[in-house]
Amino acid sequence: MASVGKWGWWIAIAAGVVCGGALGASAQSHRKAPIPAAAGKVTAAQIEAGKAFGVSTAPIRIDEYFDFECPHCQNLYLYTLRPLINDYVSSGKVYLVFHDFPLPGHTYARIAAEYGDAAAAIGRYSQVESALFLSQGDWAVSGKVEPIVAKALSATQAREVEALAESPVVKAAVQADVQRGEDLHVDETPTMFITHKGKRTPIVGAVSYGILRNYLNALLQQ
Amino acid sequence: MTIPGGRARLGRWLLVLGRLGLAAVFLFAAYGKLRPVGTAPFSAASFQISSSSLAVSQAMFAIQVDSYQLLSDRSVEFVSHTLPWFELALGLLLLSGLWLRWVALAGSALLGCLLGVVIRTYHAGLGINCGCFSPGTEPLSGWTIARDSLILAWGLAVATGAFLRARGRRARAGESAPAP
Repeated sequence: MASVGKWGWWIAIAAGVVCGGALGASAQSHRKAPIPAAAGKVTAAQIEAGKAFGVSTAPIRIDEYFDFECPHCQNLYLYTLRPLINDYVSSGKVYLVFHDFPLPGHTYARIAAEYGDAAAAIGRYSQVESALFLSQGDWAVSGKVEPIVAKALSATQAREVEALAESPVVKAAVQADVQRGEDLHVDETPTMFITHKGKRTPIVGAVSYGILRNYLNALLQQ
Repeated sequence: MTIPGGRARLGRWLLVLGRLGLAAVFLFAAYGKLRPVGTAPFSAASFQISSSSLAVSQAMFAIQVDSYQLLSDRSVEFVSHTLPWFELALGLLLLSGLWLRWVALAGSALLGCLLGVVIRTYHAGLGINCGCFSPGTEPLSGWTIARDSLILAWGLAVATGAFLRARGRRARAGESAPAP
């Protein structure tokens, strides 16, 4: 009995160590990646579709290469592209596609782009894009991107986006956008490419909504 | 006696060449802004200018002017609708040689203003396109400033030459006039 009791103690300690380790590992995996299965299922096409607004058959297509940390991109988004989405994208006249182009000099731009793409993967891009641009002055200084993103989403979505932002597919999607921009000789942000009837015109820098509207109307009347 | 005559002839030829060169610059600038957007320079399509293509070209040029972030929307519209035609008029007048002094002076004043805007924008660090000769193809750079400075110097040389020639003519007219 004495020897069985001794072994029993050893077995109990070993079981405790194994269970404790397993529970600890499980808790850690919940903190870092709550929904690993979702991250595995996300595709590059899904992310791309999440950053496109309107119908792809619209007569005008606008591709915007931007950097979340760039003040001119913030201006363009807040004062030109948001009204454009209401007036032209919603009515099927313009198909608007956002592309990441984090500039090397902007420390947190790539992290923000990864959070943006992660949000696009779950269909919450516009909420996160808006939050990041509206709070640009805060996170661009502190580097605390995640709390801004979390505020724009529900708790479950925030955990999902946080996990996805670390995934290779999201990092690859950001890099693919950068590569696409470089292939088009983009070297400043914001850069828009406006395509109408097969002709693509680059526009570099922020543009006021009234001036862009006149151009789109002239194109639509052609 | 032959040397001053030769120098005067050379001066006249230089003035004609300078005037024609400056005319080409203004005509090319106007053509770049008025030709249909997306057409290659000097292609057949680039000369097929219609009212609808003109509306698009001027709206595109307005975007270019707006990207300098200097003017209100209304002023941007005014500049984008008048500047290409003003450049066209200057080019045609320089080509004809009519009112050369004043046309060259007006052209130089315009070039000076545009150069000032380009320098200011370059120093402000706005990474935009110049829009000097055609929209959306030429990033603003040190090269743009050097080239525009050279064109301004050229314009000033033509204006100075035209004023000197007019003064010389007046002096000769005064010498040949009969004494009262």
